Amino acid sequence: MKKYLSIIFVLSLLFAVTQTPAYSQSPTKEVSEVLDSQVQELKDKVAEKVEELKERKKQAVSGIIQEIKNNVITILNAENNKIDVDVDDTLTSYYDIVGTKVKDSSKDNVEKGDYIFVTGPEIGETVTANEVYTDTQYIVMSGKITEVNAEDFTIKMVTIDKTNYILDIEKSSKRNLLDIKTLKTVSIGFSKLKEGDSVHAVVKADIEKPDQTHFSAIKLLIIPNEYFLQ
Amino acid sequence: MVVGEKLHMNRETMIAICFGIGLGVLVGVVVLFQTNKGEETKVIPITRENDQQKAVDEDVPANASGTNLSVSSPANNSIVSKNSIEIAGVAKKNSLLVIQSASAEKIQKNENEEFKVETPLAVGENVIQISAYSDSSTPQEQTLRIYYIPAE
Repeated sequence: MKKYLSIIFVLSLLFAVTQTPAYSQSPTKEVSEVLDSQVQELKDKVAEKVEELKERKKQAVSGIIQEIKNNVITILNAENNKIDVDVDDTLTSYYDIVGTKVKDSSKDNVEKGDYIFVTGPEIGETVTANEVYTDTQYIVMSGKITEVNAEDFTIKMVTIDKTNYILDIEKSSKRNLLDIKTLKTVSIGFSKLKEGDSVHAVVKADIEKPDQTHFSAIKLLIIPNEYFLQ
Repeated sequence: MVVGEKLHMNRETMIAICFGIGLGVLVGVVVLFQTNKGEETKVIPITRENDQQKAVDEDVPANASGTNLSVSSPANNSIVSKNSIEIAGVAKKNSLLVIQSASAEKIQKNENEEFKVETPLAVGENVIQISAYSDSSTPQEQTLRIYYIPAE
């Protein structure tokens, strides 16, 4: 009897020992594969984040020059925040945007009141300038036409934040009206402008008059009020 | 007599062998079950957690804040070296999208919530206003400043 029990014990032990690694190896391999794919996924995410941060660094700041002192240019941006721009005589390059061209310039051509944008690393409220570009400042605004004056070819408009503007409509001003049926724009004359219509305008800012509310319109897009009554 | 005893012994040996194998299989199955159970608790939940997170992200719309317009790209103040850029985001379905800058004017009806509009850029700073008219003549607006500096 002892002999049989020994055989049973030895055989069951042998079978269990030989079978267990065979079964357990497969899940271990699967676990390893899952871990590998997760590590790869993590690597991809890190690479993606690094790329995103690199892209984020490719940013610029812009504003009107308030002061130039030694190697620091102080600008006031569109949100009325002052930003210090550190410039270096050898490392910082200067350019002018003239139409569709970027022309070389120099530090001597940059003066108080100019509108500039700057590229370079930004730490806090200070930017270390790699490049300084002098440019034209445009303002894009939208609102409703409140008055059309056919005598002096101006319109009055009020924006969402309740600011009132007067726009001179020049012969050179591009005027487009939305066709509410086709959703295409058509060029229009001054007589088609009317009170109550929505207007999107692009104007050139006069840097010397930061609080001005009277502009010459470069382009207008009119969305007739009828569009909203459909 | 001796032959009968031997046959009896062989039969008992065979039974013992079978019983041994059966017990071995049982032990093997138990071990296998335990291994699989261990794998499930250690590995699978990580994947499931990720999947659940992804599912939650997919369920939340980009304009969940209640606004009718949300521009996802490009980032404000970006510098690019191409003369056009794709503006992408989410706006209320059927809203009228107006994209305007000194060099661009685009109008389109937003058929789906998501939109992608290729917009031309002028050299230098581009102030781009994106407006979405949905239920009224007062639009939701977002303004981007994009800087186009051509590659030399």
